[in-house]
Amino acid sequence: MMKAPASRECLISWALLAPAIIFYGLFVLLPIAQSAAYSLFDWSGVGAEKMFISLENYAWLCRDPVFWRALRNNFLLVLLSLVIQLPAAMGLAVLLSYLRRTRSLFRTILFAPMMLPAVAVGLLWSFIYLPGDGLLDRFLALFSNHVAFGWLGRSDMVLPAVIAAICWRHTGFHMVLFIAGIESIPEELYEAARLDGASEWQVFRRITLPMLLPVTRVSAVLSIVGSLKYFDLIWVMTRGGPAHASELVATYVYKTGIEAQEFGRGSALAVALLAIVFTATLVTHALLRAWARLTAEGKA
Amino acid sequence: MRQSSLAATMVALAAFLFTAGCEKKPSGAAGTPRKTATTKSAGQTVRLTFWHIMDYEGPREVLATAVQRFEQAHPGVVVEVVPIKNDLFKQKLATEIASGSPPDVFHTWGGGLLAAYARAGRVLDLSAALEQDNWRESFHRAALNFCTAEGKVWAVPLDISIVPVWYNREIFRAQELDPPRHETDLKALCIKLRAAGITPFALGNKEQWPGCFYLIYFATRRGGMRTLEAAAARRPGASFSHEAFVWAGRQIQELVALRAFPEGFNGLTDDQARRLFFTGRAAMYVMGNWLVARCRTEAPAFLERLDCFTFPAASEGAGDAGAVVGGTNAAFAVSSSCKHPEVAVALLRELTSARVAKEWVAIGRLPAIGTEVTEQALPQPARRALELLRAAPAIQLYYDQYLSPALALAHKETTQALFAGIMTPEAAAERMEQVARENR
Repeated sequence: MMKAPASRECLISWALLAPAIIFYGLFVLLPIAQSAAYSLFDWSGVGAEKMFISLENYAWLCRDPVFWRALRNNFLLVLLSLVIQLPAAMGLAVLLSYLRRTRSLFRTILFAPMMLPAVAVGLLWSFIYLPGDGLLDRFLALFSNHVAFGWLGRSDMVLPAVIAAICWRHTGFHMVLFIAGIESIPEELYEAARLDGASEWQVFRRITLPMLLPVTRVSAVLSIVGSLKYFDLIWVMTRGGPAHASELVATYVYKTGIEAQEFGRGSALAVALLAIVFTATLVTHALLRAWARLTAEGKA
Repeated sequence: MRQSSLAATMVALAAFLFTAGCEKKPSGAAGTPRKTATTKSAGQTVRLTFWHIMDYEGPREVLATAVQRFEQAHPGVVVEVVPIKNDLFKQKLATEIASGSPPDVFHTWGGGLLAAYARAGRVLDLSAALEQDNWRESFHRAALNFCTAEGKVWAVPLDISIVPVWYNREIFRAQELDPPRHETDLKALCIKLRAAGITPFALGNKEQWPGCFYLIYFATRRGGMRTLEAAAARRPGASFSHEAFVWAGRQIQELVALRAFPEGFNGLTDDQARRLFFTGRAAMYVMGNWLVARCRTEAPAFLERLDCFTFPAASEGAGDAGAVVGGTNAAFAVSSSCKHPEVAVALLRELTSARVAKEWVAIGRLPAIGTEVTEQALPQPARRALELLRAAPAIQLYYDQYLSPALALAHKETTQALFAGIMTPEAAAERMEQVARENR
């Protein structure tokens, strides 16, 4: 007698889930499977000629210096995003928590870059970096005679320049996460600490920071995944150039698969990128969980 | 110029405030289709989409009026014209063709990419249509050849373009300079101009094709057109690591060392480079003769100062001294997925009619169609380009259009790396050869 309602419930939940599952399968899982299949072929992507070459595309990928270069750039982006965006976002969130009346105004302003279309942000920063005439060079001209600097045209300068733009765009997003985190910290904790005569630094160090740990974890994972599959601003500002200096795996996937009409190789790159993102996510989760356990044990 | 870029930043900023929050919408006008006709008689409406790259004043209007004429002559036909900026077009078309939803009629440069699409069965064979009404005879032979692969014609050219070295007559007069005869002269010229505080060449190489002109010219001057043809066709003994390509790479790096190009040129767009030239901050500019059409609308006063000479010869080598780099910069193909191929071919006839050719001349561009139009109709600088074209024994098609897609990409990447100084000429040539071998 107890089984009937349970199975009906089960049926209902499957029925309710069905649209999402079908949608997800059709537009996420199926294309991934297709890419994996294409990656085993030598195929231009437009013609009928398709030749099965098993893992040859992956062997090519391991030999290809541009892929490794792109991957290195991706990891640099991950590192700098974590080191710059997260602390900056947290700092801004804490500062904003001290504001009363102007808080929402500043929050909107700082979040604005995230609301702008990537193409617009890319163009804006291209103007800023314009050699000689750009905002940055004209600012530097106030201090020195060297006024023309090819920020986006120099292979040793382009990656930091683009990463600065990326950080500018995404810091606001993480800041909003941290603000939400701070707002969920019970006010009593702060009152108690201040009654006990804690300094503002101690309050931050002993209350805000530990209480923000769950949000930090989410932020870090989002930042890592986002940096690994990054595409838009780089594409608009440099197209991965000059000469692959700012190439990322995602831009290289596009160039190989669509521009060079090497769809098999492009698919192999995409599958490799998926594997890297997947592994990185698992590792990050495992590390953060271990860290949380350690700190919990330390307290006990 | 300084003011204008600051102003541009402000305008961009203002634009963002309005567009904020509509990330999903295509940004800019490039992606928005412009309907040229809205109402049509009832009954069967035939719809065609037509993509081209003439997204600037002058040629855009010529094509738009041609389409309007076509619609008037063919009631019930609606052509949706979508002008897309050059580099965006390349990305968009490649994506649409790969995903199987190409426009019915589209722009092409001919060459290797068109041949690749033709081999894949994505383009309509126009050979039979060309035999009717002497259509074939109306075209410039070289231009039609760019649109021919495997003995069949896949597109019809409206335009023929060549790439001379444009220069600012005023600067050359003030500095008492003469057009250089060979590469040694050219380098001396660059040193003089730099000493006078003028950037020798305007170049914006972010999109990679503008820098390629230098490599193509140097290689053609040193080794001749046959060197590339043989290497691309994989003839026995021929190779992309041929001495002519290595030499060309070395010339580029020597010019970079002489600071012949603007600061940060590998990150500048061609639009930005053109502004440097029109504002007199750079003395020379290796660019197609479409520059004249741009000049007419963007800097009409500059037409007076605009003149051109042919790219300097190689002091040593077995190359072609008079050959010009060029191609067709407006040819039109019909997609094989087009549901009304006969209507699309009729549109091609209108787009390559004598009337359109005449208007093409009027805006300063060279038509690939024989017309009785006199040279007098051309603006003076364009007439000089036409003289160079007539004097040229042959036209070397842009490598990035001539080569297969994979080699074309490698050509653009390695050439930009040469300019950036992060690849030696030998390594760049070797890389090209390696890609050619892999894609045999």
